[in-house]
Amino acid sequence: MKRFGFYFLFVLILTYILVGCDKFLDVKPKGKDIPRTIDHYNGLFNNNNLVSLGNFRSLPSGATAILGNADLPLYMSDDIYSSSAYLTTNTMSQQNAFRWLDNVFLPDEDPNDWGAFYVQNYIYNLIANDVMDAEDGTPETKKQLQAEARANRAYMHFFVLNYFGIPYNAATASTYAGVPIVTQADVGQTNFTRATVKEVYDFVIAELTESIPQLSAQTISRLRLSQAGGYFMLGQVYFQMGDYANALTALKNCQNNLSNTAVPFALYNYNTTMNSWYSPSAPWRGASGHPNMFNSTENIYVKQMPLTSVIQRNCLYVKQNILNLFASDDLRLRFFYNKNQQNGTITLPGTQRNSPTAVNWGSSLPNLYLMLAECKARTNDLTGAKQDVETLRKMRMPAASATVPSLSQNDFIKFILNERQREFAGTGMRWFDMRRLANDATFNNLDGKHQLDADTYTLRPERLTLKIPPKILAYNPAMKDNQ
Amino acid sequence: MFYDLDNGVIDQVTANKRIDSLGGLNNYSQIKSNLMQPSFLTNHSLSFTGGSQFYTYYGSVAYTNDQNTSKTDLNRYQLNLRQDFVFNPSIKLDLTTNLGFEDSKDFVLTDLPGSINNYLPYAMFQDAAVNNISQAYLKRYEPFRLDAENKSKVSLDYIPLNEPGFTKNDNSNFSARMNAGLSIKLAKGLNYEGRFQYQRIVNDGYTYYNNNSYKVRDELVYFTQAATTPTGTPTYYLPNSGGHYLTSNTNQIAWTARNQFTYDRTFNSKHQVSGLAGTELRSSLSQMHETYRRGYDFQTQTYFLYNEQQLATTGVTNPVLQKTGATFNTLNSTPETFAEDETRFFSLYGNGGYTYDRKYTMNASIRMDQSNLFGTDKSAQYKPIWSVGTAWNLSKENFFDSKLFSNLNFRLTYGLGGNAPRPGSGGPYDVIFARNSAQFAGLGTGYIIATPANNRLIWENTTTLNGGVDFGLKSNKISGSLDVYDKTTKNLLGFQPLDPTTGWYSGYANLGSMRNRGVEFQLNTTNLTKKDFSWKSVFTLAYNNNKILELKAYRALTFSSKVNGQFVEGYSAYSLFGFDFIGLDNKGNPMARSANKDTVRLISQLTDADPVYKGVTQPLWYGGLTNIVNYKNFSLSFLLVYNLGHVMRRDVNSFYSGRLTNNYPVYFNDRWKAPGDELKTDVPVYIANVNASNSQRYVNLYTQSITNIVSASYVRLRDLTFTYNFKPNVLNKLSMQNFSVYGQMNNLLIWANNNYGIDPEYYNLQNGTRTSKMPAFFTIGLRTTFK
Repeated sequence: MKRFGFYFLFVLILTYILVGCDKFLDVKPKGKDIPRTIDHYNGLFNNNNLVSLGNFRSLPSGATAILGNADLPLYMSDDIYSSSAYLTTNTMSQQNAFRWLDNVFLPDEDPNDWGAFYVQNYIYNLIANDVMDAEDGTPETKKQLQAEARANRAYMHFFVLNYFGIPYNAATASTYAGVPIVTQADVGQTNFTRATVKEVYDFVIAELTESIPQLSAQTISRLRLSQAGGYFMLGQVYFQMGDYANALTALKNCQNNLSNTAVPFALYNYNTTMNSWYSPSAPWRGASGHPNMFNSTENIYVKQMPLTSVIQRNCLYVKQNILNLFASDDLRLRFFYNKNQQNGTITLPGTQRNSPTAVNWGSSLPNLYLMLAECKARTNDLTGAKQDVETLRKMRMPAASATVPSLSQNDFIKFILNERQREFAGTGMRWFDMRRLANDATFNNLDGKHQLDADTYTLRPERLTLKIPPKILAYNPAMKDNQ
Repeated sequence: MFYDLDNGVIDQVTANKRIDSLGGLNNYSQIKSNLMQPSFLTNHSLSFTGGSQFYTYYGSVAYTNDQNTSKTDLNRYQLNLRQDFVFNPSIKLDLTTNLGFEDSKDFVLTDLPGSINNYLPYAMFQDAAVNNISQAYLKRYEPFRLDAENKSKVSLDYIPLNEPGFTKNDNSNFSARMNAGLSIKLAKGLNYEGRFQYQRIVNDGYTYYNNNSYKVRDELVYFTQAATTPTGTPTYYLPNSGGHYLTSNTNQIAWTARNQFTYDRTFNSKHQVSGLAGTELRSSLSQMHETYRRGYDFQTQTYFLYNEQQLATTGVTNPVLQKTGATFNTLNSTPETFAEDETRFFSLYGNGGYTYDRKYTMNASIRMDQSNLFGTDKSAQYKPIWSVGTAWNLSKENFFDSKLFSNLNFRLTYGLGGNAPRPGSGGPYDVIFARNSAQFAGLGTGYIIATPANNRLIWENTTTLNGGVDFGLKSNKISGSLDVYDKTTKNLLGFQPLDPTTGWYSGYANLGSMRNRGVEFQLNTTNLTKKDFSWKSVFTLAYNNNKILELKAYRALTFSSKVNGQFVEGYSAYSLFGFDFIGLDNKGNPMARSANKDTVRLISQLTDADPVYKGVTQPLWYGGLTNIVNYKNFSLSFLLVYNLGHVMRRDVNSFYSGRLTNNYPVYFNDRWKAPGDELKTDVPVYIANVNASNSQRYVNLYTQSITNIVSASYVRLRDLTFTYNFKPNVLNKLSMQNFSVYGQMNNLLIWANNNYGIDPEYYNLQNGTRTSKMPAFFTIGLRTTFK
């Protein structure tokens, strides 16, 4: 009988253990999770790494390794030159890009200029494909987050296409290869194929067009996408394709949505702000007081390109003919100086852009006004165009110099193109204009020469497109390279 | 000096004089006497035992003091007690309690510009009068420093040996463990065993840097704006009094509960049946809390506040010192860190065996594990692993009639083992971590993806076939065993490089398959037994050969994945490849022969066929030899270990371009300096500019050349112990049971098959770098038991 009691007790314990087992194993670790709730999907956007056009890898520990930025356009733009004493401190791919060489990337290099966009694309894909299955949240919120992810995904494709696909030309876009369209968050994918340039643009436009109405009407942050930012993206894409009529419509929509915002939007009036940003006793620091991109009221949606590595290396100087475009009282000249930015002890071979230390390649007011102006000028609304350019110019220099003289349509477009060169000198954004204007019979203003001390490097039309990095070709043996 | 010489400020004679005076300086002895101490460990322990038929106990107390070479001082106190209760012949309980307390103080010397192992030899720590001297010159160009000090009114001087005086630290550790076991005889042959263990470890520590500490002063200057008037006060954005106070607290709780039934019974003295079935629950919880306070006053326990949000986002514009390449400085600090990790496991296991007439045995086992670990599906965890085996004891057969063997037993087992995809590394779900950053304040918690989902992952499985024989000779002088195994692992799990187009650079994946084959042999011999003298030895020998059968590569093999990687399909794991180096060219740059016999100099000329296989970094043959010799009261034992047949890279100098900021291997002196040197040396020329160097050559052709791959084989005398046992008649008078004196010497001698003084045991064989070596050490002890 005593023995029986024992058996009974053990069977009881064992049963308890087996039944309680599921509960026992059902403990969730803190701090980490799998994406389930609307807060998770929303939180995936609140990631510092998505603010820059940077290449990064996440580690299982939750840490992030920053690999670099997709910054080759800084080196490939035609408004700068360099000196070997400084350029040789750059990475080989940056040096090769400056020389417009055919083979820019090293055989074993993880290319930042490819990775940056696809790494961010994964996060946007995950949200776009899964947020509708979140366990909580209203359908409206889900749709809004999905739209934000789809629009950003389209934007990533737009950028990477403008590195590795030939410049848009309606006649050839459907025959030339662009970049892979990746719409799945799946690490098991292999053998990517390059969609044609037209297919990528069609994808980008369709995704943006469908997403924009679902985006938040109000801008809540410069780091989160709203309808204003969405329309800007769409306008920027059409603008890049040379479709100025469609661009104009989208950009006007952007402008109309600006008033619905929780963060202030306004151009800085350099006539007053420069006094506090710029210190005459330390001109080499430039306009060091310029707010950062997250706080700048000129930014609608931030995708920033850090200039720190260029400034640190003192390696790029704005060409003299570009500097000559500035009126002497243009306050934007405060951003440029011919000494090293740290302490002004080294006199450089040229004048470098030293501030602010990052520029926004995403949606910004200066680019909005300049694109609006150009679209209006190209569609022969010269009055509208004049107004937009002057809105910007008045904020950049004393009113007397800001007025635009009366010009013919073509001369006016050329004036606006020059204004773009002034506003964006040394920011790398010229790269996108070079590609846009390369096929423009009337307004091609490319200056395909890079001076490196006594050596001159010439830009051949093929090198308006980077070749596919060797490492990517190694992963995708069937992928065709560019010429 | 070189700048002054170049600019004509000084002439060659003065320059030589100055170089020579620097060359005469060596801080080795100052580092040794001020930053290190000889390591010294003392250990005292006392044990006691007692009890009755129904209750026995064994207890011990111990004290350890450990002063290691990096000047850490540690005290440890330990209390152990084991109690055994016998309630009746079939119910027994044991209870073990361990308590430990540990307290340590570290020697903290922060912000040393460089590693102490390759510190610039002429950077002295003390002057001739043994005063601590400044090394601020290693931190910052002096005019910049003076300017910054002037603007911030904060000293930026750096006197390394004064720094430890500006810090305080203490770390304590308390651990308690209770282990209870219950054993009950339920029926003939059937036993229940239960074991429960609870353990708790609490760790508390702090480090304090007061406001004289360089770390505190230097950070402050980065967040200070100069005064606008010469007499004004600078604006400090961080507290300018008080220091940095860091605390850390960890708490670990772990428990295990195991219940098992065992059965062992022989029927009719022919059928022996044994079995075991049980469950095990394991839980482990660790919690961590760290704080970081600035402006803390250690005495009053108060601190000053500063604006974290502002410093993290808008930062400080026009600071006295700028962070490189920035126009404004931002501070990303984490004043509090919390972390918690909880893992739970549940296992079910069992095995059964049957032996007939002590000759023929069959057995089988099975096991299943489940865990709460994250990102895995529970359904995927129900995957049992199993094995079956059989044995035949030939020596028990009636027909066995050998004059030589007393025991001869043959064994054969086959099993399937498995490894689930490691949770936290990859699974069917993306794993996200919460990460907030100041820019997104007000927009909700931020999340980053730590690992991507991969639902193609399957279990790694290993099939093992093992055959063996145990033998013993009639004379009882020789016994041993020989085992042969063949193990094939499929769907190996590990990290694999990925196409960045997917959005990831590497991911956890099923990599491929690998086969391991080997032999293990053990021989126990009694070599001599005389009246006062005996000599016994144990010899072990193992041989392993493996091959990577398949390695799924999502991209083509490159030369670098061969030379820098360790796993190449068709070769053994940990293979070492090198370049077929042929010497230096007339500019001092290395040249190598490619697979199609061309001479190559640049990285772009290399293909995956060029690296040459030179062997593996894991020993092919390894084992040991133990000898025990007794003569009267003396006893001597020593252990020889050997590792043979593997290779390693030499520790060549790898510094050939860039700024010289450290101390480098002496091989640097042998480098190519002038045309013609290529006939005398293989060491490449030094080119100051990194990119100029990279664009004209590939130094690895030399550093990773096959000529720099050498044998890593070695034999080591691991330890030698000498014991003297006092005679019983002496002990009786002192009422001692036994008393012995022993001396042990460890890591004594090594015979290594290389000419470079490399000890392969303290060495990274793949990269060719030395690691901190454990020196030979001596232990002297007394051991006694009182009656």
